[in-house]
Amino acid sequence: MFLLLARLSEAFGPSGDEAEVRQILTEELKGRWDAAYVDSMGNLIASFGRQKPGPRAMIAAHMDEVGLIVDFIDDDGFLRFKKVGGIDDRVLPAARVRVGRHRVPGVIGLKPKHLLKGEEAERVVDSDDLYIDIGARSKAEAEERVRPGDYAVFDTRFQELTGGVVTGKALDDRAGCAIAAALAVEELPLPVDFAFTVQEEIGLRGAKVAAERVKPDFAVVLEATTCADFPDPKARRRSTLLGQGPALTFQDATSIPHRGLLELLVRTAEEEGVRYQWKQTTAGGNDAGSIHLAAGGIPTVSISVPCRYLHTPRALLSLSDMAEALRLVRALLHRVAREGVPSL
Amino acid sequence: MADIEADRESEVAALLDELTSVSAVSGREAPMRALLARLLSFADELSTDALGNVIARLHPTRAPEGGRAPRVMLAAHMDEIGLVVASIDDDSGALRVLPVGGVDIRNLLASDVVVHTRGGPLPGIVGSTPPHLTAAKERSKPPAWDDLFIDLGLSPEEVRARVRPGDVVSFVGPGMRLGAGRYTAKALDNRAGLAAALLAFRRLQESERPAEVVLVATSQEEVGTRGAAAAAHAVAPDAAVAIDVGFAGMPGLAKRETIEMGKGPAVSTGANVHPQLRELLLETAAEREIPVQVEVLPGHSGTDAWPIQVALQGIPTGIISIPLRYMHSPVEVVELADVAAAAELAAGFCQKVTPDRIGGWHGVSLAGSAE
Repeated sequence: MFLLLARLSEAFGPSGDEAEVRQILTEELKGRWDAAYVDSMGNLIASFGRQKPGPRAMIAAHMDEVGLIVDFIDDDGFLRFKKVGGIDDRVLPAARVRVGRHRVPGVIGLKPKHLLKGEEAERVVDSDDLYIDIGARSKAEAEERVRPGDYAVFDTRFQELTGGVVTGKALDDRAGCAIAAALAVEELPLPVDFAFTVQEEIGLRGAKVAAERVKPDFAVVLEATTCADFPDPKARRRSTLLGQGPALTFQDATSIPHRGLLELLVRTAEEEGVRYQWKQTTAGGNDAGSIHLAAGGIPTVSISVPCRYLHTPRALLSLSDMAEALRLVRALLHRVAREGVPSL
Repeated sequence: MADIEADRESEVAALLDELTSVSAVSGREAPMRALLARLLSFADELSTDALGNVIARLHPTRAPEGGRAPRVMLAAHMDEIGLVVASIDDDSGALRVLPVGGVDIRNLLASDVVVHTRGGPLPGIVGSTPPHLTAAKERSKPPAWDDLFIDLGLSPEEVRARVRPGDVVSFVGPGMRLGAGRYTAKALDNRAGLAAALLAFRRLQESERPAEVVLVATSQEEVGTRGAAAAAHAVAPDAAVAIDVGFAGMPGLAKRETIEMGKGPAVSTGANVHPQLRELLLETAAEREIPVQVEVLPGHSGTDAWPIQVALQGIPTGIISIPLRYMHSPVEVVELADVAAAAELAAGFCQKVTPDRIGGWHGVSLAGSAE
């Protein structure tokens, strides 16, 4: 899971351009699935255990990450951009990025501190006033390598900071993808469709059509969620705590989980001795928001890996939380295979 | 011709890769001194002083008749801006830091850092609160130093065992080539200038030298040009040139405030620069067809030239300035050819420093005292 997470984290996959991530997952799983389908939006849906009896599960994890899209190349060859997904303007200065199909390296630089006037030093530069410098002398030179519409993502090397704590970009939600891919190759107790979805970061869009295609009896969303426990672990807005196991959602901005399935999930965790915690905020949302409304309504729950500094060039998570999340989703599938999908 | 230029650029890039791979936060330049001891092992003399300056000498290849050869000093600072650990949070082990040198806090969120501890370097990141949990109003303000923290991914106990206040923190910005012969890394202020000085020194070692050439890799420039003040006093050169970086053009800066990337180094002019020394730099550039531009400095140059000029009884001083974008960030950008040109200019200049050329630079005695 560690090596796959490293590869997935460094892969290029902003919302709307997820092909490289899809390719890695395809290489990982092909030959092992019963069938797989890439739909019109780019969702990868891989079916396992088709002949097995029991309720049909969908496990969803999104492949896309927040990024940038070049909307204009100026006369001096600088790339102007818009944000794709929710990025705090304050994390953009001094970022390194890769742009477009050629993965052209570039940097986002600020005017030197020495030349700031008056209150400039107190102001955050709006992302509309930032630009990517790829080392082009002119518009024409830039256009040889990049064109408007090309995406950019942070250029961040995946790194193990210390034992079991890793940092990298796009851990939201390559962590979920890595857990799902690890689960997919196990012997599963019921038929499962793994949906690696697109365009989550711009409105949970891929999951909607994936769920309509799969029409599962229940769904589990594997996510990376906010973790603001550092430097103040007692903070009211901490959301989750790193290293305390996967977080369960009681409600967020996009869905209220199916009560029966959520109760079963909690009971599973407690009886199997899987460490878990509650996500202590209702902020944010994930693919469950689309999936639970699809195909006439689908019982859906989320299992989330606490992830510090997400939506920045450097997120951080604990591998132990990923391992526990894998244990939990695996145990839930076995429960449902035995007990069926619970009622509301 | 194109091949020669590509070779030159590769030589500069390789040297910059090496120079930006070490950390040298002001006052803690030891890793750079170790690297320079290796890079400058061919010097005739090599020493360090109490402030941590590295001083390398090449003896003249010929002595002028009936006198000593002049001594010319090339100064390039080797230190870089960074952070210093001020305290460690009780609950979490988060490191609270303060700037060393002119750090723009707006460059720091979500960046990689290395904390230099007694037990060796520790990787860390500068944390931030996710946009999901912050109000729009918060996101419109840069963080305050009190809010900024470094996360090492370690337990508070481990942090306290390994880190102590006073440990310095360097930024991470590995060297990488961009398009158009450009190069990005951290600390190119002033590794670009240091690279130019080192390349000039290599050239001079292989060629005729009418002067003694002293390369000083100075310390503590970013906290007030301190190393250079001590070095100028000790070296006592007849002429000195500081090689540093200047502000290159970019959106948001007026052309009159900047010099241009790819047009060669700037030869500075202003009160900090000796006019005749400057003329000799320009003459060297013209003879060798080295592209140069002019940088106008109304007062303080913000370089080592400032203290050098007023050391001892006054030292004729000039400045070679390499165009650089995004100064004091981990993504500074230079053009490799500009660094190579600066090296060529510095080497060419040193070869022209002869007693007759610099004779009048130090001042003249006036005749006409009372008889």
